[in-house]
Amino acid sequence: MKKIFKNTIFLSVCGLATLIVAWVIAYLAVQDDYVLPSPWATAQAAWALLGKGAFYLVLLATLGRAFLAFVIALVLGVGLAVIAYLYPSFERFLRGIVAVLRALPTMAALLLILLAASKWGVSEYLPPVVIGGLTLFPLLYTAAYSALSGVDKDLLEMSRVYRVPLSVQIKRLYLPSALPALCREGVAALSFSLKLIVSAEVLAFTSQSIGGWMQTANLGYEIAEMTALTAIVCLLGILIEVAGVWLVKAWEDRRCA
Amino acid sequence: MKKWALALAACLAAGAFASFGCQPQTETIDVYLPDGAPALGLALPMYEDTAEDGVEYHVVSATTLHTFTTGKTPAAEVCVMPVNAAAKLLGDASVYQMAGVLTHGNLYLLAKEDATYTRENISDLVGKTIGVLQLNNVPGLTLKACLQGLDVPYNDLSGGGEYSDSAVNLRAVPTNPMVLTGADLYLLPSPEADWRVDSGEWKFVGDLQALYGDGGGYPQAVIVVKKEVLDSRGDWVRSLLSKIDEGVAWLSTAEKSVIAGAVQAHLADGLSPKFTAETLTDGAIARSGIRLQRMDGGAVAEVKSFLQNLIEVDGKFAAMPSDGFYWLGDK
Repeated sequence: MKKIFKNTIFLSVCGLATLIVAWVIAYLAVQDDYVLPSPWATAQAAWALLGKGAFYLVLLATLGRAFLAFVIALVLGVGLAVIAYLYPSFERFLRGIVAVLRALPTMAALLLILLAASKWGVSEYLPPVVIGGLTLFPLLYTAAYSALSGVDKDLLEMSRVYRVPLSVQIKRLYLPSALPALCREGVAALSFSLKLIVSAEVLAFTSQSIGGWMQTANLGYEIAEMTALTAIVCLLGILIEVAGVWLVKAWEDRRCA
Repeated sequence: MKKWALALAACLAAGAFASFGCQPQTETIDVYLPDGAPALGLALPMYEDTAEDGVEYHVVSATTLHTFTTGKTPAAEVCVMPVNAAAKLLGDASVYQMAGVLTHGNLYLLAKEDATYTRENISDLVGKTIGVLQLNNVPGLTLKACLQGLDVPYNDLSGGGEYSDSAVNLRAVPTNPMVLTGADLYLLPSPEADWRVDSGEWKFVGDLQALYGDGGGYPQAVIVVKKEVLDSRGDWVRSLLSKIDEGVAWLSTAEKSVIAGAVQAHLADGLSPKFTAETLTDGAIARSGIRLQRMDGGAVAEVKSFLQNLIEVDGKFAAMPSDGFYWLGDK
């Protein structure tokens, strides 16, 4: 019995069940389907959505934008982190820029980007990707730089003394030390990217997007559908994170074996 | 000592109960409405509103307006809301009835180019993209009904569709804020449309009210009232409707600062006003489509016909209310 209460999956499921119970209690307290629909109405609406072919196209489009924003932020973040690690002056130069980007109010920045996009006739699909990339970049840059800085200094000194080739240093020293931490942060960032992109799509009313569908449902007083879309995005975010953590762990176990 | 304490407690309790029982029962009538043209329609009642008249006006966000009419105990005794929302959410007439039509359309096509789109040349819109505020609400549904009625094909991009050069493409624009991006023309309500045109970049190129039907507009914002208020305070409802009637003429003579001030004094906390004394022009007021129409046989038929057109466009966003939804008691 004690074992089950230490089981992570069991406890996580209990946590989710608590949320659903809280939802039911809130629904019974509010008593207004146009403010807070019930979990069962939401499940029905979700089932209806899953039966529509257009939903999958729109979902893929949103996931594609989330992935693109993540990749852009990852490439820039890791690339600049490597340069910053090699050249401390560059790191100090970047420090202020990263701090500004970290503090940037996301939705306000989206409005500015939308205005610029309108002015220059840029595709409306781009602003959510740009805002996703701008928000994720400081997270991934910091994670990459910390991972590189965390490599054992004694091992680095030893590599220099024994004149170990750079390629071997990267393969045998830097990557094994830095990759696990970077992968864990990357998985969290990918899940976060989905949330960011959907939020931006809601504000920008991006067509062919989950966020756009949420706005449409809201305007049509289809609150159950809007809640269902929200729940689906939450579930997807959780799945991405769980799958990512599992993949990282499997890779680490294989490496150790 | 104990007896004195008990006696004192009993007196205090009796006094509390008595004062509670003697408190005058205030029956405040709460009127909820969105900013924009509906707020202009009720500007005179709001201007003359006093703290003692037992009426409170609340100008709230259009996005959350419906929450004041739904649920077990809706807050609004009177509400001005889009006709399709009223029909869909309240059309069973269990709590509310429709007492009048306040606005008859205030939607205009804007573009940067010099052009004029009428019923005769509306097919010139094929291949172009129109950005629509509230594409799946009355504005968008009305535009679709117009295009459908004139046999002009349209393509709704919000449902995952691709751009088409053999149809009029319709794209939703964000409601807050209204960023005009990615379309050739925009369908916007007055007074926002007037503000855009006054800024110099945009021009009026089409009037949706003229495109629909015989050019007399369509029921857009309607006034719904709780049945218990209609039963117990029918005279007050009639006086409100008369005041709204009076207000239409008042809008053209009153100072803009007075009109804007009357509305802003009743804005919900944290809500930005849709218009100010500077942006509210005579043209904006004239284009707001404010004209009170009481519910009679003709008005009911007009509402039903309009709702039927909306349902034929997309039954998801409109519904036909029951016949008991119309209050014909304003005699």
